[in-house]
Amino acid sequence: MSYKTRYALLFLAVPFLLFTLFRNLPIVIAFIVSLLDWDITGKPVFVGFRHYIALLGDDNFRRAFLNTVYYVAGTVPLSIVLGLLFAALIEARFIRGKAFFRTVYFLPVVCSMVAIATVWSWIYNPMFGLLNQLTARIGLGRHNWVADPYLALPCIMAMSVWKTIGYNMIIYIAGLKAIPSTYYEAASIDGASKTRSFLAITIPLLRPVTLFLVIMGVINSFQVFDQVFILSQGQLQDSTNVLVFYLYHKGFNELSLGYASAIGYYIFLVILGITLVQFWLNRRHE
Amino acid sequence: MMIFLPMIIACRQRGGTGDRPLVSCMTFEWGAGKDSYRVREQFINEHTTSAAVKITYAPHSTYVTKLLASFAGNIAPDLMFSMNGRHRLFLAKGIFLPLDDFIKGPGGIDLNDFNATFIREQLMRGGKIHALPQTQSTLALYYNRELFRRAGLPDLSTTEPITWDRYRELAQALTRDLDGDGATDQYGCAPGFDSQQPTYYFYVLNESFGCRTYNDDGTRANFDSDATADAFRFLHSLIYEYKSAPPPLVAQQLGGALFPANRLGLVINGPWMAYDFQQTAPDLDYGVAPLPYRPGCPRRNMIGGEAIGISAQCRNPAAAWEIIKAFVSPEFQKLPIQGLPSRLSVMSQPGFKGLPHWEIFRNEMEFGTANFFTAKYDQVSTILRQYAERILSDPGAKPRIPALLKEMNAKINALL
Repeated sequence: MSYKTRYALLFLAVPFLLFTLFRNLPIVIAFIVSLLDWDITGKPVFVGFRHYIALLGDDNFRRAFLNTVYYVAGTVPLSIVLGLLFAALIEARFIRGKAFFRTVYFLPVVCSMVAIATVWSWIYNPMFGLLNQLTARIGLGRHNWVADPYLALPCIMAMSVWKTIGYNMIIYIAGLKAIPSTYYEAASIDGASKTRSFLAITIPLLRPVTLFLVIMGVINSFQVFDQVFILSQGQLQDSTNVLVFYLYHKGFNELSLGYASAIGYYIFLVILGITLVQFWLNRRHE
Repeated sequence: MMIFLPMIIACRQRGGTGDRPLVSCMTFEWGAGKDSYRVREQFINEHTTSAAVKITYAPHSTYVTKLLASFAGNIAPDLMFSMNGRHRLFLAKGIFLPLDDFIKGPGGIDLNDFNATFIREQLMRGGKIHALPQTQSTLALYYNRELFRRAGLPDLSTTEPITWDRYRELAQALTRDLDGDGATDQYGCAPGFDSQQPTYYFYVLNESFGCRTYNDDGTRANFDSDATADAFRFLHSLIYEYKSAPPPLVAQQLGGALFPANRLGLVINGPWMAYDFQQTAPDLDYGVAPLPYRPGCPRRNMIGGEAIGISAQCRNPAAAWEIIKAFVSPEFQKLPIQGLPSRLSVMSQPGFKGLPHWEIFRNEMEFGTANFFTAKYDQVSTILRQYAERILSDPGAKPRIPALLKEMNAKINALL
């Protein structure tokens, strides 16, 4: 083995060890814990797949799963469509001050979700909130927003979409810049309208970008937690119970670590399954 | 090394206690401000000659997890505080040493100076005492005197409680639509509001309506009783029939903002709320009255508080006991706190300065119970909160209350 190889292995060993210690090992340990009945202080008892089976009959888990699917279905497509729309608008020739708009729309992405959720909790405040002032003025009445079981999750979804649009927009702008202008020139010579060019050239050529955003969006949305925790004030509620929040509740409020780990593995399996389906669909289209 | 060096430096032990054995202690300081633990540490180290204490702080929200994790890792502090609703959980997990030998020994203390109900219902296991109360708390009825004046209502008695029916009448009289848009801008009452533990008050209301939450050995819950159904009907009608109270999630979200903003007339809360007003709304004009009662039913309240015990992993329990004695000593108990001192004699001393209206909270201790703070309190409360949300967030749920409570009770009994 040459000294270069030895040095390369040495340098690789450091991140490998850190990843193994802080990422891979906890994943393996979490699986082992999911097979145990353990409340931190007591002696762990091996229960096999009992937690996984119990979860299938758990009303709260079912509700959390459905709420999460609702959240993913409501946020991912909307934030992608709006991200593309904003990117196309900002990249349009007639728009001046592109850098300003890019900065403004990207700003929520770099802000902490906790800070954003706290600000939005005041916007949604049923007594003193900005949104109610606005809706009351235009004759739509006042609502309880996040304190209304039917509106709570859509309110959280709206806030999440607002925060995500900027990220999707920037990725789409990068994708738009990568499309050669000759395609549009050729389409223009052939008499294609702007809309036709957008539908026939832009969208198909952005498919890899869209796939990336959909996969990342689904993965992130399935792990929604911070905004739910802040806006529900850390309380488990039927209306805003989502998978990771339920995991947190079982693990850290009720100290059912085995049960919480099993929820974590269900989330992993669901995300893995959806991602594989997305890849398969994309390959079929190609 | 650049990553780990600061961690190693941060983790190094600090000394400086001379020859005295050092006792470690973890607190969440649900007391008198986040940094007051430093004042307390200094006070104890100045007043104790046989041992010294090093107190570490953890936020209330993560305290239990951190404490139990340190216990699991065999690095638990020598002394631990436990809080409302968690005492029996700590006892059930066996993380406290029994204190009987210390209490009855040569350097012991007189238990008659502490609330016997709290010790019996919360701090005893297998006939032995595992912790001592460090603070106490009960609930009382706060009323906004400014709103009372505007509505032409007289002040409430500080000694004679009102009935729940009178409470509803007052709530109705205090409710206002200030801008005429048909929506309530000023609520009469908000029973059960507290963003930390919204269910806290349902237990007390339930007991006050005549339900005994659990049977004597704590193996069966009675949430399917007629009294519980009456309590929930009462809350439901306050929200939807009389429109005098906000729905539970609104109350939870608005937290303590409505009362000091003169948008809420009546609220049930503990002595810590008086402490908050001292800090954040010193000019607020409010009064405190005994908790309402239901005619024909015994007056009920909760008795809560913090307790301190010696960890089962403590290597020097004798030194830890000296620090416990300092924590519950009359001198220490006079320091400002958000609750009541656990030593009853401290409150009888002339010149005792507690929180505003502390006498009312002290008088309520007579009616206090803690039997609903079981080892499964968190799990039971989660179920109770979910069903409370289902009942009280749905205007049409009133006829279904008995069926929902039966369903809820079955789930709780399955847990027990």
